Order: sequence, then C-alpha cells, then structure tokens
Amino acid sequence: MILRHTRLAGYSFVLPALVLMFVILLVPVLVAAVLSFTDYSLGNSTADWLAWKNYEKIFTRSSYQKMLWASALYVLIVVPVSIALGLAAALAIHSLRFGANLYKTIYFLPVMAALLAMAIVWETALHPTIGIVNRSLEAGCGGWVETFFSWGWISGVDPEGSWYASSCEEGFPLWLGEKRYALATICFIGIWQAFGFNMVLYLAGLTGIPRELIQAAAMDGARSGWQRFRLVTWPMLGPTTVFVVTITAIRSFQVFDTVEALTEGGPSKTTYVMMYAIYEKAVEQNLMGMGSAITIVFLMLVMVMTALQRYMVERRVHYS
Amino acid sequence: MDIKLERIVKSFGSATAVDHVDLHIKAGEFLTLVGPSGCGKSTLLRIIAGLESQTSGSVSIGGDTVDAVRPSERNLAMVFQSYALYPHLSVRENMTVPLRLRDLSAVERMPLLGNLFPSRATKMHAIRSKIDQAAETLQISHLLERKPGELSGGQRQRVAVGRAMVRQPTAFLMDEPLSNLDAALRVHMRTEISGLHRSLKTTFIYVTHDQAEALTMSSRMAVMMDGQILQVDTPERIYRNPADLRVAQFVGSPRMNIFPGEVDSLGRIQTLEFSLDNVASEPVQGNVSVGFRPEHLRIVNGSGGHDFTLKVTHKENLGADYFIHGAVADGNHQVIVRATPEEVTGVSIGDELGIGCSKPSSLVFGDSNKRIDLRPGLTQ
Repeated sequence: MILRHTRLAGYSFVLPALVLMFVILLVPVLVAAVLSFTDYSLGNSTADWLAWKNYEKIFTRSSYQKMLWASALYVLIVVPVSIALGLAAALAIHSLRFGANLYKTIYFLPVMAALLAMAIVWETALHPTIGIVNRSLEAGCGGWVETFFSWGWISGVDPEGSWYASSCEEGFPLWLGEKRYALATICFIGIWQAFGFNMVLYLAGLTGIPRELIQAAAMDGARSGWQRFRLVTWPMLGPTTVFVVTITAIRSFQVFDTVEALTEGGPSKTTYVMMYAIYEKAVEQNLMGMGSAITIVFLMLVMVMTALQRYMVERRVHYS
Repeated sequence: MDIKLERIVKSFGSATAVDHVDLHIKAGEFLTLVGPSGCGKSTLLRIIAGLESQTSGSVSIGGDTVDAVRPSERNLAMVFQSYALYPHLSVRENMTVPLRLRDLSAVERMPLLGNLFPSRATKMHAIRSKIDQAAETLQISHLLERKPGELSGGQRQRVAVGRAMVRQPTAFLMDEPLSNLDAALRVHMRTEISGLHRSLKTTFIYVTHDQAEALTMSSRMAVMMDGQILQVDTPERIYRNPADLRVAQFVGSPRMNIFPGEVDSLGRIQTLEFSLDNVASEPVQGNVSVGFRPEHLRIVNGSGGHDFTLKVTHKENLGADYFIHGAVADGNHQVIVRATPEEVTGVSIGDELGIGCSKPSSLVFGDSNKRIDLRPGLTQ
C-alpha cells in the first residue's frame, strides 16, 4: 500500500514537468508535422490531405531548390570563415598584455547589436549611389588607389581587366541587387556579426589551457608558435571547437533578419534562405501546409547536421 | 657540460625574486635547489630553462652564453610539477614529441604528405625503438598506448621523466616533481630518481621545498632563501656545518633547537643555565644564537648532570624514535629532544626532565645569522 502511495506521489511530482515538455516542446513540432501533409491556411476550418505533395515540391521545384542551395551556401561560407576569424582574433587578443578588454568589447559589439537594426545601417552603407561603400570606391578611381588595386604592378596582370578598373568604367555593383553579389554581401554581414561571438567562446577556451603545457612544448623543442599551436593549443581547444561549430552552424541556418530587411530573398532567389521561405509561405502567403513542410525539412537538416558533427568530432576530440 | 649562472637577478616590478645568484653546476652532478616556498628557486630553474628571462646576469651552458637562446634550442629537458603531459596524446605519442620535433624535418612531420618521404619511416623506426627502451627502463611498457588521463599520479610522473629522458638532454630540470604524489610513493620515487641519475650520468637540477628530498638525493644542494643562495655544499656538510642560522633551521627534521646566548670578552658562550666548553674563535661579543639538533640533546636521569630542565608537553612516537616536545623552565623556549623508546618509558606529559647537551656539537650563530667558529677553550 505504502509503495503504491509513494509511486503515485512520484508520478504526480513528475507530471507537471512532463506535461509542460509535451505541450511546449513536442506538440508544436507534431502539429507542424501534421500540417505539412495538408494545404491548411490560417482561418480555414478544413484542409485537404496532400500526403507527400508538399515535400515533393520542395525537392523538385526550382524555387525550392534555389532555397536549399542558398541556405547551404550561406552556412558553408559563414561557418568556416567566422570560426577562423574568431579563432584568429582570440589568439591575437590572448597574447596581448594590455588592451585586451577594449578589443573584446569592440569585436563583441556586432553580437550585442540587434541584427535588424544593423541591417538598416548596412543597407544605407551599401546603397548603390549614396552609400558610403560605393562612394568611397568611386573616390579611389583614377588615383593611386585604382593603380594599386588594379594589381598592374604585379607582373603578368592586366590592370585594365581587373575588377577595380572595370568597375570604375562601368560603375560599382549594386551589392544587394545583383545576382553575383547579393548572397556574398549577406554572408559578409553574417560573418561580421558572428565572429565576435566565436572569439569570446575561443577566448574562454584559451584561458583553460594550462601555461605549463605550452612551456612543456617549448622545452620539447617546438620552436615556432605554429608548432606549439599544432601540438597543444588546437587539440586543447577541441571541445570549444565542437561547440562553436555546432552553434555557428545552427545560427547560420537560422539567418533571417538581414534577408528580410535587405533583399527579401532576391534577386532571382539567390538569397532565398529557408527561414525566409518559411516566413514568406506561412506568414505572408498564408500557406501553412507548405510553410510547415519547409520547417520540418529545416528541422531535419539541423538535426542531421548536429548529429553528424557530434559523431565525427567526438571520436577525435579529447575531453579531459 | 657545466652550467654556470653569473649574478642572476630577476625582479617582478618592485619585488626581487632572485637576487644576484652565482652558481656553478658541474657536469653530471645532482644539484638540488631547496628552500621554502617563494624563495625564488623555481624562478631560477625557469631562468636556466629559458622559460623566464632574467632581469640581469647571464646563464652559460658548456661555456656558451645562452641568454639569447630560446628554450627549445637549449637542449634541456624539464619535468614539471603538474607533469604537463599532452592529455590528447597517448603515452607513446607524448614520449615521441621531443624526438619527432628534433629528428624529423618540417615536411616529414606533415600529416599524410610526410609519409611520402622514405627517410621518415627509418627515423620513426629509430624513435620507436628508443621509446621502447626508455619505457622498459621506467617499467611503463604496458602503459604506452594509454592516455595520461587513465594513469595514476606515479605513472604520470614516470611518463614525464620518460619524455624528458628519450632525447638525452644536456641536463634534466625538475620542478618539484614529487610534490603531487602521496607520501609512500614520494619516498619510493626518491630512490628511483637517484638510481636514474646514477645510470644516466646526466646533470640533474632538482627544485624542491622538501629538505628530506634534498638531503637524500643530491650530490650537492643549494639552500635558497629570499632570492639568495645561502650555502652550496654536499648534504652532509650542509647538515653538519651550516653556514647560516636560516640554513641550520631549514635543513633537518625536526628543526634545530635554538637558544639565546651571550659571548663575553673572553669568547666564552653562556646560554640558558649553562656555558659551552668551546669558545668563539673570533672576537665577537654580545648576543648569539646557540643551536642543538634534537639528536644532540639527551634525557639525563636522576638529579645532577643535566644542563637544563624541561617540562614535557608532547610525546611524538615515530616507532624507532621518540621526539619529546617540551618547554624550558623559563617558559619561553620550546625544545625537541630525540630519544629511544627505552628512554621514554615512564615519561608522561607534564613531567620535568633533566636534559644534557652534547656541547661539542653545538652550532653558534652571531649577528646577521652568520655562523661563528668555535675552538677549544683555554681555561679547560
């Protein structure tokens, strides 16, 4: 009797947590999963069962293929570059005797600022005619800046054919309006925003490396900083790197603010990333079924990517 | 190769960690730098290693000044207090590191690409056999494939020594390598490290705060205090013939008993209630400190024949020996007397004991802690 009572008490203690977990975390995903098989729109009382049709569209229609491609490109560019920059900045700041806090604050500023607000600043800066970027570039035309950046002083390079010289002739690009540049510009802003965060994570990792290990490497004959980095610093940063890669990849997959504010997925869907597609389908066009289907694909991709990272990296990383 | 330190000074801001140290370490000797924590011994070792740069003075190895030479080029091996093993590498890989860095060229060390060089295979083969040999000497052959995290403290210690050993350095620098081990293992490793020194015949420079390690292991020991070397000599002479009161008190366990004394115009020395047979050989007059090691005091039974009396406050049983702690009758001085178990049967706390001193063994120190030589008194 006593046993049954205690068991009941145990379940009733656990129950609220279980209920909350289901209602808040799992039910929304399940609802999205169910909706993704329908053509439901908000406000409709019924919906038709479409089975796999929504998913079929995602993997066959060219606009959705562009979506997958844009997201993949964005992640593949932003993750490695922002991690490499973050690590380099962390190593540089870690070696400073003084002024480290100042640099940390400055590099961390873009992380603290709301990306949407910063996107407006970038939009102004990148404006084709009145933006500071193109105005500065134009100011360099005809002078030594053009001579230098036309690379004519390197033997075997034709200065006339260089990017800077031809842009001076034909005008500088519409950074957010041309197919060639739009995604790269969005990536640049993404990197600008993300690397300060990675730097802070790596700085925390660096302080955890015992000084004696670096000194042991020096005594063992590691002459250059690169040798000591390869022998001690990089392997000891393994756990930090796993975390940084996972977080950056997920955050990059979730990019939305800059696309919404600057390009709205264009031109010709070159910046049509998944988050923006979900927003466009589900919110703007009220195609909940399609939006849900993309959401589920998005979730699957992130899960697969994270699992893959853990599997690949965990075997090689040493956790002490 | 001899290692010479000349007028080494190291200051951190206004604090001086090492204060004009001169030291000549002979090839093949086991020199211990011993002193209380904060005396600058580790800093001095790190200056020899090149991990710390001296404020002034110079270090030379085998006649060549190495002040501008980086630690990686000095061919010294160091065993750290924390062992500093690379946690992500196996024991074998840990021991391979110094040899790989020394023997392989940059291209041969490259992952994958290095395998294309046939010279790499022969070199790696030679390295492998050296490591197997060292592992056998240290009895860690069965641990070679493990990671440092899977080893006990004593095993890590051996691996750290092994990593230092494989490349046959000019000298081994050891920074308190035994202080993270438990007491029994520490005593055991003392003999092992001494044995290693005998078989390798390489210079060992060993830093410790434990005077027992210094006494048992070294061929010479340098006692450091407040950034200065007070005395460098063999352990026997440091123990019997300390040049400084601070050396006398630091070396020897339990500590030497110190009594206040006075020297009169004839050089006769008076302390507590008795005077010494010998007189000061120098014309010093005034206050001195008179030191007796615990083994130079003995319990005198019956009345008379004792030099002073002692009230027992504590009996310390070490098995073969007893240490009797007590207060001298005037109540101001604590004394420790070494005695055999037979002598202390029947002695209990609170008893008054008569204590006799072995007067020829007394050590007298004058102003500024300097030792005063004694000679037989003329009045005898």
